[in-house]
Amino acid sequence: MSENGRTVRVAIAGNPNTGKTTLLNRLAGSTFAVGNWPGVTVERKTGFVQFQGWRIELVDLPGLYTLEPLTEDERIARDYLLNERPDVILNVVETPRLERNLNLTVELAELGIPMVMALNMMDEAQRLGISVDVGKLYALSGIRAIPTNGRSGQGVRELLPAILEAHQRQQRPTLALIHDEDPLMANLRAAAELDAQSRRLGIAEGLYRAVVQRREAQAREFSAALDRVLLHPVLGLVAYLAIMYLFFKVSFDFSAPLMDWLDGFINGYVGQIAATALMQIGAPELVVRFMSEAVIGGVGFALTFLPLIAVMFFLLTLLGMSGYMARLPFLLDRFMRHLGLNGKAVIPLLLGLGCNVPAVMATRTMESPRDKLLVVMMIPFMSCPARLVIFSFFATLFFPQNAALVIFGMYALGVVVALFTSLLLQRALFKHESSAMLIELPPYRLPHLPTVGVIV
Amino acid sequence: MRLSDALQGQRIKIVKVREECALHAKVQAMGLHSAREATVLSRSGRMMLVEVGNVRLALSDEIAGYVEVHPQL
Repeated sequence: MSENGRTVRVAIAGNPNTGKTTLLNRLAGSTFAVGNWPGVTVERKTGFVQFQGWRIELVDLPGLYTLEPLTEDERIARDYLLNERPDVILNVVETPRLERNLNLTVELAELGIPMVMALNMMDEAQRLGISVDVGKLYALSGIRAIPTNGRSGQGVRELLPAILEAHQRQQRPTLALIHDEDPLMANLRAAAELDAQSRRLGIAEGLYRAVVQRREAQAREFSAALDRVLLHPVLGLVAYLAIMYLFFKVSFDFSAPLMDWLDGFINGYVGQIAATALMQIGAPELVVRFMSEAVIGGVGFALTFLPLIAVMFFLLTLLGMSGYMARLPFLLDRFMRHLGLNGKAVIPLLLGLGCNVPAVMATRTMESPRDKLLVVMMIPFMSCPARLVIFSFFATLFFPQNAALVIFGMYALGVVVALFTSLLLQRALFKHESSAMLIELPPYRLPHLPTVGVIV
Repeated sequence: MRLSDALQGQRIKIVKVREECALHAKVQAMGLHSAREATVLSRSGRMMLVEVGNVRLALSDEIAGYVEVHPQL
């Protein structure tokens, strides 16, 4: 229970890729903030909303499949739920894949914390012919379920009264179905004899069968069609190279006009004004040149690359939220294995081309400490746009005729040194084989641009 | 047989996930648990792409080797 009686602390929990962050952005609006969990490199997204005299504080937990964590962000989510004991859990589920999502719902229900469920992506579920009997779901589980669509905002505001009701009534999940005499549920009584996890899986499946109806004929999923190309052993690699080429080309071409404008503004305008002002007050020439050329010019040179960094971040976030980046570990694992690495290493290394800091943070999804440390040691050699500033400076100064080639060579050298570092560390310190890999491939989705903007 | 032995395009029914698997709980929580039917969509190196219901999972042979399955016709 909160110290302040008019505050409700809500933990947003669910499987990865269920739209938790999009819902938080919809609910919290301008109060949406991105920080870090204390002491770790995992992003913490929070926000609050005032509703009927109550302050509802929302914390977006990292996605997890089970409360038995393997990765750093899964541990953070589990620890928050067990140690912080939020007032209400908002369990965000992906309605088109509700059966799998309910596995976690059952585990969350066992915590004895009042709970509300957001049946997110209802539009997608309806296209697949899936409907959920929310009344029966409540009767069987004691969990109020609200159909939502995070992208359009439909149903999102209805979550607030449900959260408040759950808190005020201390509406804890009951999982009543295990006592139901319905023949369909009778089998679940036997589940009580099984181990805890088998029991939970049985309850989740029983709940799914009781509340979900699905039409037989369904349209082919867009994702399945796209995967036949993008995950093809040959076509997929061609597509990947094309996407990477486009990534860099769009980043540089789109940001170039902005960079030129910034350069002109800082050096041609701000620098000139500073020089003129200093001369008018009688400053020595050394001071005038130091301020206008070294300080303003030098800082300005670095600032001109901000548009490039912003565009690269934006495109990387788009790739991530579209669902494509989640497929890269599958596509490139066989190449990474030759380097003694897990396919999951691709994503942090790719992010390193945008910025090394989020790249290191991205290693939190790697279960193996060995693989994680190897990738963290490689990331500093992946050249980010900030390094491009230095490369450009030296290349232009010392190799004016072949500047572009020299810059490309420096990028390539960084990648080579990164690979060499990995191989050297594996021979010297980390001699074991790369770890096993298990990932979910989410469906392809159009990213929610406002959420992308806030994250960038 | 083991899931790692399944062929591309083959439909299988999961019997159990052996407890020796280090990711035992996660594998089951992600949808690969007993009595579920699945389809092996493709294979790439040591990785296999499996569809269970509406969920697509990519897993390496090391994990698939711990999943016991029956082939379905």
